[in-house]
Amino acid sequence: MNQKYIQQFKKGSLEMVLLSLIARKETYGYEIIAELNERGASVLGYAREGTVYPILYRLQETGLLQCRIAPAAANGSSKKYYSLTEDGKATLQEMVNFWGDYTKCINRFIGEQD
Amino acid sequence: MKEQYIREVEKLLPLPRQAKREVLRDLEEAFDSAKEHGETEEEVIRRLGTPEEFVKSLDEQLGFHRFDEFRRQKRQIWGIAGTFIFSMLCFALYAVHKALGVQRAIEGIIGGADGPTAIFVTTTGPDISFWTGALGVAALIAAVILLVRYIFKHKKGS
Repeated sequence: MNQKYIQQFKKGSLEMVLLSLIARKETYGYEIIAELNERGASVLGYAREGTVYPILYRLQETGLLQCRIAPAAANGSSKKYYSLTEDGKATLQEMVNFWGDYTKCINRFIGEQD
Repeated sequence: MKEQYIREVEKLLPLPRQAKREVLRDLEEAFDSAKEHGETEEEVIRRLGTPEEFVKSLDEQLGFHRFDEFRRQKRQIWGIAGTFIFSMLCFALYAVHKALGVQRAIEGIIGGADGPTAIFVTTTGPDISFWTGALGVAALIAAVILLVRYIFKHKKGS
């Protein structure tokens, strides 16, 4: 399929996917990207820092995510751990509910093709 | 390799200082985490793409043309500073001219200057100092207007 269409699908859903990943447990950038690639690369394409970080920034800016910086065990560097704010949890729930309705509705339309 | 990559990104990234520091910190973390997971710097860079590609994808994802917005802000600030400096230059020129005029007038009184100099002072002297003064005032007003407009817009945006 044309990359343009894939991009458009991703644009609408990647924020929800990231919120879902972070909702399960507090996590950091590399772990998020690794998990996206492990479980989603075949459909979503390969996730990289350049696409994931800006979405994290945006979610943080809109108050859905919060982060804390903790020193990493090994080499004196630090890690930024993300978690959902209360607003983030509520928004994710709304998104998931809407996604259910949305896919049902869309499926009805595309089901008529056959 | 990692340091050079981060430095390149730093040069290319059109963001306010604090946002820039944040991106560079995260980039550093990306390299360090990858290393912990046994990835080499080469592999990380292959994923990130060239510094240009990395910056471009940040820009695309951030949306609303945020980089352009920052570039525009920077230009506006330089514009305000330039106008202000120009007005100060005009005032300085005005002051110098005034001082010279006074000096020449004094010289004229004492008789240090001959006829043509005295005429020069009275005819073109006040004219130039008038224009430099007027230009200085105009530029200062323009700078203040631009500054007020910038602050007002910025406040509304945030």
